[in-house]
Amino acid sequence: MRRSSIVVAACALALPGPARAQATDPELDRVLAEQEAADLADEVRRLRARVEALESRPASPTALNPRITVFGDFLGTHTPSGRLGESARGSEPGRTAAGDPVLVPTTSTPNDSRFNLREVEVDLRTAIDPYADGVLILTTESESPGEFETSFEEGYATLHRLPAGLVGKVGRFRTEFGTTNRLHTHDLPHPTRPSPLVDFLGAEGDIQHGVSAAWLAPGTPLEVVLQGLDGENEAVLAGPAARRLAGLGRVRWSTPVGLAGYAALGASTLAGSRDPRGDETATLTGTDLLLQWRPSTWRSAAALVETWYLDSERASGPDPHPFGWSAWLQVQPALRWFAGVRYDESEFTGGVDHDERWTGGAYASWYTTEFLRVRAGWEHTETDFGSGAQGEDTDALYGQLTFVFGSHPAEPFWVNR
Amino acid sequence: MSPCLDVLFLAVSLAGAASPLRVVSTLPTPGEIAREVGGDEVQVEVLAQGWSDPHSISPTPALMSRVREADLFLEIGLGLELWAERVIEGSGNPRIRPGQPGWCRVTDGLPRLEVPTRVDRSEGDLHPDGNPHMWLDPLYVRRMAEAVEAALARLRPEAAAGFAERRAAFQRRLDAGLFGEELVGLVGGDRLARAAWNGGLEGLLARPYKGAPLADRLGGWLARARALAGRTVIVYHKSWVYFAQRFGLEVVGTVEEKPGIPPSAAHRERLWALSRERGVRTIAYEAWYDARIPRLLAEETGALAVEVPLEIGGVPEATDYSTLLDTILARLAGDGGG
Repeated sequence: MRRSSIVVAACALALPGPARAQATDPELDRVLAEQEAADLADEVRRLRARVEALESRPASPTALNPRITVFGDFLGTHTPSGRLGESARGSEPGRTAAGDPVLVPTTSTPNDSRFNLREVEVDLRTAIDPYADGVLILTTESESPGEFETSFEEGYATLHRLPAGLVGKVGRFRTEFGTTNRLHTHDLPHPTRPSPLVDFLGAEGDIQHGVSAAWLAPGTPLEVVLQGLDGENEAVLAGPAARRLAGLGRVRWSTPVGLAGYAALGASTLAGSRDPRGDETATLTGTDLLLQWRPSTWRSAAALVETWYLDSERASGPDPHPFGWSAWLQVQPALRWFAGVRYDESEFTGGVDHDERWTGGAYASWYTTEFLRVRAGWEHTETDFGSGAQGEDTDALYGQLTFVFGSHPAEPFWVNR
Repeated sequence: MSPCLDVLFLAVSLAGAASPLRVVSTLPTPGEIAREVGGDEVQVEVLAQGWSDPHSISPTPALMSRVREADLFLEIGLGLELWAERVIEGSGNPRIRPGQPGWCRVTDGLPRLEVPTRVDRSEGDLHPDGNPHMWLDPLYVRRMAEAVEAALARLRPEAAAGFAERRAAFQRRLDAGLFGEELVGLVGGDRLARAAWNGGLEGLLARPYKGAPLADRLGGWLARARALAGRTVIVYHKSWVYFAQRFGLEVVGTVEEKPGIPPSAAHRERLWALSRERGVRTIAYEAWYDARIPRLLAEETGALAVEVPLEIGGVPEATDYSTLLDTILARLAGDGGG
């Protein structure tokens, strides 16, 4: 019954409309009528086949399931000096036993040259209801080969029906401090996180629980983000013991430059307490400038400069004001090839010394497709501190393979492809 | 009339005049359809330039800002503009989210070609719901105009009659462009479009009228495409399946090994052999692809490598949909653009 109704309806739809002025010639009328009769018979046959195919199609077994994407990041490191770059560059979070420096650079950690499945990330996202979307990112990380630690890197709901064009976010997320901080490890354009980012915001960047409101100004690409956070960042705030909230504000203005260029200028500030009681405060301020030129999918260039400045007030002793910056330049000479250089500088203004670290590096990435990337990199780090003699140098060679499979989520706008 | 009454009258008139609907389209063709159907009732912005790869636009805040106040968002869908999701998300505009009245996927309900039976990445960067490059067939554009009309009428019902009228006028222009003025005048655009859509056009054109087949009266793009009939072509990416179906082009291979996969040396060898074997005369590529490979292949095989626009604005002379089709046909026929 249903099938025949559909066919009849389809035939009715397929019949010519009111006779047109052109078809008044009897010979033409006959020609057209014969042809249309033949066409209609043919169409009925095709529609029958189509209806049968539609009626026999099973419901999708994946309906209502979240979109799932899996990222894997495999890193091989060789340090000729026998000292590892990545973990060595992390700052010891919190404070020293003496309560002095805000940022305390660690000395290099002895380590073998090893291969390591550095990170596996499972990204699930879907609409929760008409008012909110959900994102859950489960990450398994490894700092030493064979030792894995699993955590929820992010888990939040995005509220998109708020008034005044606000987009809300509630849960645990990468905060909006700067540009590189918002990137997951596999999205980084280079093998490691910039040193100042690690020094000022921690080895994984700044990930906190909180609430967020983002607003895009009407008529101009000016973004404003305000976030209330629980202050759990260990590098500059009180860490898990925090009992006072922290706040983050960010503005970013962006503009097209010519037909293929793009520029974005941002400023961020993160303010909170350094200690659980709130006696000491810290305000981290950052700026970032991104320039992109992309005339085609097989040729592009990008540059990013970021700065970090920490203004910290302590209950006793001198107030440290460390500064750091990082600059990155990348070119794409061919469809599959990307190459770049990065320079980082961090200073650690502790209670006693003015310690600094410089890192320079270069890398080249080759993509089989956007889903599989092979990368080689080199980094050289110099410090004017260290265990033993001052001015310890480290070289590290990296080999990296990154893959993604699953539902192919939309990429953030600035990532290198 | 006193000045006060003048001012009052002006104020009432201004209050009564609805401001244009703000329409944002991902690509130029849906944008042109919106302009044609919406007329003065719409103000249209297009996010992607015609010369840029529609698959890989960066969803920048600048784009989000342009969508911020939109009443209607038009997209092709089928996995073509993955970036559109982030643009909508970042704009903070709930009116244009998928499923809302202000969101329209113009390809909904249209028959899709190349729907893969095996969906995994070993097949390259495929589109699980089918090939999305539908706008290269004017009959699909004709149907997209109906989708745009419905979306506009949903948002501004009081102007529905005007939208319907302009949509019909746009379709008549498309028909004339596709079949030629004479045949449309004789047979009627709707009838011709229906016959072509249902695969009955050749049968209709073969029918004699006044001692000659109706085909003799065919004009427009289809008549020009007859010069291309049976011409074997290699294209860079699988963008031309709908165009080829409508205009009788025979696409025998792609420069890409699989969708999104650049050619390996072995694939280039296969293409070289295929070109010789099938007598390929044209190798077509879009502006955003590396032209070196098609040019090299053309040099080696004696074929012609031509840059062909995929969208309005893809090359300077493709200023609207009609000139886009003119340009594509001219370039495939070897009239410039190499």
